[in-house]
Amino acid sequence: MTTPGSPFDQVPALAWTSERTLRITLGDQISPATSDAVAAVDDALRAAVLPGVSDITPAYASVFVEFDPLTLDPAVAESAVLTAIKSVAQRSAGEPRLIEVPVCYADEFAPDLSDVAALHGISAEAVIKLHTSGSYRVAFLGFTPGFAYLSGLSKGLHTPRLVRPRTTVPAGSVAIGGAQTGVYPHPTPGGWRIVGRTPIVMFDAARRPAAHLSIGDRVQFVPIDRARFDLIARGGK
Amino acid sequence: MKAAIRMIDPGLQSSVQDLGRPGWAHLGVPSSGAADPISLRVGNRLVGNPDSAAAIEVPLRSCLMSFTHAATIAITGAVEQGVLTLASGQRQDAPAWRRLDVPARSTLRIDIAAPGARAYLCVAGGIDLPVVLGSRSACLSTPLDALAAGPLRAGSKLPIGSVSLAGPCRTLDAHAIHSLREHLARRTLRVITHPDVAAIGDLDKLSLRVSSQSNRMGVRLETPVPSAAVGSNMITQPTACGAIQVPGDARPIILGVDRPTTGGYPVIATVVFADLPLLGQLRPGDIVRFQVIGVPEALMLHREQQQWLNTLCPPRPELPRTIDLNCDLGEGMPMEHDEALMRLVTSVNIACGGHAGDDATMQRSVLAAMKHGCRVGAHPSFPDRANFGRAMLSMPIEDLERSLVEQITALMRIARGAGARVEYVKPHGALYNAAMIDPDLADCLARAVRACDPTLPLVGLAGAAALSRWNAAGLAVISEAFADRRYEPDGTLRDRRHPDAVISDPGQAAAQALSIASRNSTGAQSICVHSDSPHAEAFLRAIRERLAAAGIEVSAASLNP
Repeated sequence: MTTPGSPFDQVPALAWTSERTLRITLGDQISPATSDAVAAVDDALRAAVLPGVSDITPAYASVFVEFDPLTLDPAVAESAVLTAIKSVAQRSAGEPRLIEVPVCYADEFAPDLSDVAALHGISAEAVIKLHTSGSYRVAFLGFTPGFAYLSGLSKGLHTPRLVRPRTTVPAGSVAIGGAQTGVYPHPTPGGWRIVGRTPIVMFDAARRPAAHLSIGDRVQFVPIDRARFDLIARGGK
Repeated sequence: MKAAIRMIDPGLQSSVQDLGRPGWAHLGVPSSGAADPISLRVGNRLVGNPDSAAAIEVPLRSCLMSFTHAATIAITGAVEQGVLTLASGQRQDAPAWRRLDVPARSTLRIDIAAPGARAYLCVAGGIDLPVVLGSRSACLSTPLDALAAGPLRAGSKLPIGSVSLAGPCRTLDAHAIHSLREHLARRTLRVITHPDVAAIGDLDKLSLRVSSQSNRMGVRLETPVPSAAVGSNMITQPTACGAIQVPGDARPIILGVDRPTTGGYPVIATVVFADLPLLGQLRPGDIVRFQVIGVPEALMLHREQQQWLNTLCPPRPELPRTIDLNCDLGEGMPMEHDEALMRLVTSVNIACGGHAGDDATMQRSVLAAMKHGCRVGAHPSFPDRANFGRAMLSMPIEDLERSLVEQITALMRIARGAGARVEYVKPHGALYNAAMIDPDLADCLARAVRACDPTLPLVGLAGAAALSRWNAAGLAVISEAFADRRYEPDGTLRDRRHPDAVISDPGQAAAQALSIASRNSTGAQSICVHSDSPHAEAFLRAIRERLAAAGIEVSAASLNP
């Protein structure tokens, strides 16, 4: 436990995972408070602009800082990281962005929707209602470019992954895997159950921002029909 | 026709690689880059390239390519020698680790030879593919060419960059070549144990066989490790290149350059930086051993390896690095204020009547800019003096274009009268922000500039959509970044409404300027400091001091055509 008023539920723990990577652990489970702490530390480290740092990578409960030890002395890196963590208490977090992600749940885009409904003993419409009424948060991006780990899936939709993962999941597929939901930015192999598709391009390296979603964003899935899907996919609004 | 390499038979997953794109792991983008950066760097040094030039990485089998023009090349890595077939049909050896001149229309075959798994074909000038997120490297774990070119195909044509950028070539003597080959043939990887793992005394005693399922994502080992090392799955964590993961089947995977940026398998140890290049040379069937060392030893190995390489084959002398500093002026502040800043910047964006300024201020500003050796730029805006050009103005696009032309030509006329020249155009305020993302406004600016002088470059935010649009329209472009504004992790500017959007500490502004100028992750050619900030002068002084200390020259020289 930390002192009252501390932005952290758990004292941030530093550990070297190699001579060039410092790990900051901010919790031991997936929780909104831990995600808040991760986002705050990630932001403070970026604001510190440490020369020699190549990557600051957040995940559910930890942040990795990777740097070139010939440019930035590891001891200096460690104390700079500690200073940045201390600064979190003084920094004000901005209001999170609310990003609406339109999803077409039509059969042709949702090969697993009826299975998910059957597994939970509810109708496909009820699955869509639950999925679109949830408020999700981007815990972090990882796995593949632009893939956002979303937390906040309704318990009523937690669904085991496919026994045999698909060799290709189309880009934009919106899927449920265990307690998580997310959007596949590229066609990749995948074992999550596909319940819809978004016409939004989730990642485009030539665009800024390259990723449609960013750490800390709140996400709302908005149901759309096929006509609207086609319109957005063609670049309309 | 531009000189190019044409792939005739790319073999197995050959790809273009440079030193990779670190800095984007938080978006899920792996660093990629050469799996064996030692062979890439030495190859580049042999042909006079900077270490970071892009080359062709050839894994495991072979590769056949032809050259449209004469070129200077070097073949490095796991190869004895290539075979060169001239246009006449005559064949000759192309020895590895040497600079070679290949004639136009010759064909080169590279066969991978044990020990080792990858060869590199480096060419003077480098492979000149478009830069994606700071690198030309293909990422083979992301399909559909989402990141640069994927694996090379038969018929792929790879343009060769300008050879004039190459420096002096290096040569290696037989002893140096032997020492490089020996280094890359080492199969004992030095590792640092993971902090979560209770001492694994046995790590040093393992002999593990490399699986044929290995690739750039990871080296898979087919020998199981003792069950003590197998943990249960953890919550997803960031990953590191060289991390040794142990999934449930107890067969370790050493993560490679194209690894997923996060993962849930337990890690037992991480290969030290100095031995990462060896991962690129592991062949299926090789037996790998681990040697546990500490952090201080790992740092020493890293330093010693750099020195060894630099002695063996010195890097190309660095070109002097320069960066432009720009500021918006002539906006109605006292002349002393403007001149104080002109002493510190190299380019001044002069208000030309849209949001501020009139003939008299333009005249004074141009003369002062000349006096202080600054480049003169036009700083047109929405014609909206009431809001200082800071509000979005809804007006017919033709009227806006006409106003922009009037503003730019007004400054051109005054500059000409003073014996100076307008050298670029940078839009102001709301027009700037909107044009970066709105193609209609970007096109309007392009038309206005073309009407005034089609050789004038347009200045815009590094990474913004407008820049590629202007480029595609045939206009020159200068990219800038801000020293006094915070950036979001994705490289976009933090919204002004955010309480922490603006930097107020000169030290932080200087650190950000150094990061822009040295790492150049934004690719910015110029750094902007807002002249209306009460700290502008202090910022500029701090920035200049920090850049000078880092050996970076403040100059607009590189922006001149």
